[in-house]
Amino acid sequence: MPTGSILLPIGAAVQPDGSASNLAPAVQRVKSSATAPSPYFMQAMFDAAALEQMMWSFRVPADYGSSPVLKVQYKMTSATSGNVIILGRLAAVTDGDAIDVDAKAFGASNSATVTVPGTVGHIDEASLALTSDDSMASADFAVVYVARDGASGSDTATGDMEVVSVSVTYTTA
Amino acid sequence: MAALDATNRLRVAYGWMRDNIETCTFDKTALHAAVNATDQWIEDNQTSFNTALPTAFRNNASLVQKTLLFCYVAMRRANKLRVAEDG
Repeated sequence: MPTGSILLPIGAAVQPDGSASNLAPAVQRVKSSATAPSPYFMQAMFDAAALEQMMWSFRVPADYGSSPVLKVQYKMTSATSGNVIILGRLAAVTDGDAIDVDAKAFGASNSATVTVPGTVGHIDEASLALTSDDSMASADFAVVYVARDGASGSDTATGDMEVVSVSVTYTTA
Repeated sequence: MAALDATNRLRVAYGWMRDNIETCTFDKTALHAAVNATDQWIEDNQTSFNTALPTAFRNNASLVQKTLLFCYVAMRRANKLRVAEDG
């Protein structure tokens, strides 16, 4: 079956408010050190000692079928060994659902343990199957959440995880 | 000045990670062990440090002043302490 993609730009992310259990990563503009004109891009800096999260809201594409997979491209600020714990959640509401969107909760968490690249600045792409997908269907209003659980004992890599690109891929209908 | 408890030692590691920009080929477990070892070394050697200080300073400076002096010298060695005279 063909694969579709929902692109989730760092600059379009919705940041939580920083209250308890709602910590957000710092977002910064990065300028490559290459000779001008050098590339600029946005990155989200996920802390190594706390659970920080960011999210995107969107209308699920009409050709959405099943099997959403979160694709997170990242590099590390300083670590060249160890793991990061990446979490993904979905909240989906279908037209006509008897659900107050203002009180909507996420579905169960999905997680992946990912070994960081052996060289600082090198990109790795983490794939996290969103098995718990809150019954997301085409044309739903959806919110997807990405987090690093830096407070987890299984998250062993030092320093920030710098997320540069996020998308959700899926099997088309 | 007492040794740090486990919570404070963890927070030293957190702060260190947020400040560090150099490559780390070690993981958090190794860093936490290093924090523990550093705090213990300070605990074990504070008398020796105090003895090494000139008498006028040793007899008149507070414990906090002596501790910060140690930190300032160490930070300058690591190029982390900049002052106005550096421009």
